[in-house]
Amino acid sequence: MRRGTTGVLWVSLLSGCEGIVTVVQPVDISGTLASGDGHDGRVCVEAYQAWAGDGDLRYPMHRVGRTWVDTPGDYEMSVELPVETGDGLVIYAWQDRDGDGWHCAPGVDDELAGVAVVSEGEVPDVVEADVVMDSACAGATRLFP
Amino acid sequence: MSPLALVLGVGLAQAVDWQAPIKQGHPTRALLLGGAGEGHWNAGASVGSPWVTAQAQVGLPGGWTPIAEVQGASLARWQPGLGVGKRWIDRDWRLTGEGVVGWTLQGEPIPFRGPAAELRMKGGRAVGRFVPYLHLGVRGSRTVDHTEDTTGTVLRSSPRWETTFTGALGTGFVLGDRVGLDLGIDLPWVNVPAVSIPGVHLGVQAGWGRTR
Repeated sequence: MRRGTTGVLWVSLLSGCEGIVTVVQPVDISGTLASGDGHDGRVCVEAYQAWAGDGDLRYPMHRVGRTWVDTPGDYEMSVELPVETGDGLVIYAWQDRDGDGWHCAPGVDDELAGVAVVSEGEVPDVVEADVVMDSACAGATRLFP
Repeated sequence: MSPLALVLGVGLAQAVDWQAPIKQGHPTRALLLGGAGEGHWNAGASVGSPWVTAQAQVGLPGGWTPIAEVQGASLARWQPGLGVGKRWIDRDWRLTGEGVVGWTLQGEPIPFRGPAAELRMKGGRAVGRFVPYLHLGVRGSRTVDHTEDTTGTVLRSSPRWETTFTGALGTGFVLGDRVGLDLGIDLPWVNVPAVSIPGVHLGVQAGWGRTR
């Protein structure tokens, strides 16, 4: 019996071919993006886990997804949250008014940003998150936590 | 007198010509320089930081040498394998090629379980009782990473390759007819291009079988 158990252990050990297993929660996100001053221009929408890591190494705002939409209004995106290494969901958006692909590059100080904190704990599989962009040149970690 | 000094003293006291052809199959030379004398069985093991190794081999006609081995690092990574060696040059200098196929088994925090193959060269020459050696090799391992949802359903899989350049530099010391020691520096470059820290090891070799 013991020999058999050892044999099964070795067979299972050697027959498998497995590396890192990442467990994720697929989440569908939709909502509305609103510019604080009604300005048009494409918007970068980023999804973050609110918190990631453990203990003293725990840190906020671990980015898990990004998409672009042409103008403020409705948006949709899907992300996969690595549930074993983080918690929560925060949606951050900023408006690229000058179309350079950068948020507040030198000489630019009017690109608005905002966040919607969906959850700092468990996240449902389908989420609605409306974001009002009303903070000029604010980075994600300045708006949360 | 320490036990090691005693052993070394006894070994030195034996007046034997260690360069003689009949000693070509000495286990220390066979394991550190590769190859084994026909009909010789040799086994060696080393402990070090972070690597530990064990290898057994037997000499066949024509300089061929079947090999069974296991290497371990920090008790978190194990590399069992079977292979064969072939002496290419066997004069004052010995140069041997070895090929091994096996498995790489590594636990958390970076799990890796998959098949592996390694090619390496062992070279050096005996200088009296000393056997300075250089090992150089390359090892490839393959595994598959998985992304699963919370129900355990695999969403996608992606292969991951690991390339490791292996190396060791050191010297053996022949203690007697059938036993020797080695002290070496391990210079593996594991999972290129990630940086690896060198290690050191102390090994012992023993053999038995025909003397020629």
